Amino acid sequence: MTKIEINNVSMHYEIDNHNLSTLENINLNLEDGEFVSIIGPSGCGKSTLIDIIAGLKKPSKGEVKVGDEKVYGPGPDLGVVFQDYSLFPWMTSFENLYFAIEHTNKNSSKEEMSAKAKKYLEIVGLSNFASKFPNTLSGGMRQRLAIARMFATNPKVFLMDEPFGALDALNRVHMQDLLLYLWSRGNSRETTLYVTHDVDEAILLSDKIVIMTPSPGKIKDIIEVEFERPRCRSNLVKCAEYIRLRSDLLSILNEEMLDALSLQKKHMRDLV
Amino acid sequence: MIYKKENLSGNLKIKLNLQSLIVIIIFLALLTVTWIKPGGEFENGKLLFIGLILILMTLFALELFRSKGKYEKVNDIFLLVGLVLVLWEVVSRFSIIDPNLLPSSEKVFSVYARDYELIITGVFSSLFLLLTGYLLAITAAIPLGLIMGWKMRLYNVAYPTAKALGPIPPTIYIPYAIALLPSFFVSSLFVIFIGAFWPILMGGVVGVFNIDYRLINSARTLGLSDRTIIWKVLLPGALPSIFQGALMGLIVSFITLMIAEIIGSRSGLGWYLQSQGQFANYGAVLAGMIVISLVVIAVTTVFDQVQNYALRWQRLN
Repeated sequence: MTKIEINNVSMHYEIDNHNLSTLENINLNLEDGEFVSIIGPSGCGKSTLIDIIAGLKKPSKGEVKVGDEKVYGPGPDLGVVFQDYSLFPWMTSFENLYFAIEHTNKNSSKEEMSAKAKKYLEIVGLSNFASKFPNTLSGGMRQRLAIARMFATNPKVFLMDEPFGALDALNRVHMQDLLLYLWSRGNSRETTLYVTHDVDEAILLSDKIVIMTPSPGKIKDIIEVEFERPRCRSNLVKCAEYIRLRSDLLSILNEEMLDALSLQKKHMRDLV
Repeated sequence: MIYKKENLSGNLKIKLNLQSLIVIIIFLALLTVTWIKPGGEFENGKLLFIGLILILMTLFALELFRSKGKYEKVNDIFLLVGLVLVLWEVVSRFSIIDPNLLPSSEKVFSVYARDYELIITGVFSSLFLLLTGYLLAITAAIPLGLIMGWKMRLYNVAYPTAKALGPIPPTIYIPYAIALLPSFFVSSLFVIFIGAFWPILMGGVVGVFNIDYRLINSARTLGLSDRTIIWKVLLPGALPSIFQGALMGLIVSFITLMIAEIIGSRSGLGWYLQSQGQFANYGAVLAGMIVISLVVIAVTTVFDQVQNYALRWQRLN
């Protein structure tokens, strides 16, 4: 059972004696096998939250528990995919996978690890690119490889920070399907926290959508998405419930944006 | 339109071939001039110089063949070499510069016939010293540089030290090294080591600093040990900058070696140049300079090959 518990997490930075607060009292629970998306405008601290759960940053207050253990630092149990920079540019596709497998499964033989790396290359359709360096792959291929790396290391939870944010719309559709396929393939689904700024993506993928607001980053609302899995993209968009959910989400975000805009206007008026 | 295009590429071909032709004519002219004139006491040198021109012509043909249509670079390089040789020939033939200072080609090349044993052993003793000192510097400076870049506390102490000691020309240490260390070999090793050490060290530190922190975060999410991070992430990530430092270190240590040999050695290229120069034997000095530049070309070619292979992941295809 790998639940994720986020208890009273706050994050403050001290810049030039100026206290900057990026996260304020975040409380969030992810049930075992749940897919939760975080959505919100940039600057709402969603990436910081992922970094904290992954153990890359220490929160100023509060704690994160994965399973029953408190997170003290990064480790192979916490699988992370970033928007870019997940792969090592000096390793070929195969070497990237092999390296990750080698350092997360301590007791496999070389043949097993090599076979596993090849299997995952095959799953994400990169068998022909095994000996290519990431520099020579397209953005879509690189993210497929990054996702393959995450799945190949068998983490207990998945943390994804806008993994498809830099891809074009068509590639993104492919990648979402691939992610859903890999995620729902086995008997047990991994608990996943997914950061995005794409409303449609959030609805398609998630069981729960967390809406965050900026300065300081707070959770504004949590919305359950109750469509049955497996979800079909083309059926989903026709469904009245989907359209209602989508417009709800957009209006919450929009309201937030309008507030921010009027604040900015006021600020600018003050300046002039 | 199609006709026009064909015409254009036709023109281009003739142009390229024209340059190759000029290069060949230059070499042939050099060959005939050298052949015709009497060698006198430098008959050996004359033959060696003819041999050199023949070798250059063969190399030119081979390179043209290997370049598969991209003649430009090959043409330019060989044209330059040919022109320098022609200039040398003209200047020494008409005694534009004092022939004692710039002797003729056959006189310079006759030095090889006389001193080849000294020169060859000199090359090997210099190269052996250079490579030993340089490899020692690499093995010491790279791990230290990586750790210094990685651990802030170490960096805070070591960086000012490196900044203070790095710019001191390693040749300053030569008298101390010769006085304090047991043999010339050890003291040369020491100064070569120092010459290469600082640039490589700084290359390592700067290289680690330039690695994107997101890449290091990605490595940390795999739960790697510090050791693995240093060798499998920091080292390859810092390698481009390490190679920059290593090239600088190579040049500095080569110059240092030459000076060390001039000051304190009884063998090696630097010593050979110095001892011949003292007797105003400028033919031998020039011959030695040619050998040195050939050695430098050979060493840097090997360096480039290693660098190209190690950084092949940076190439875009």
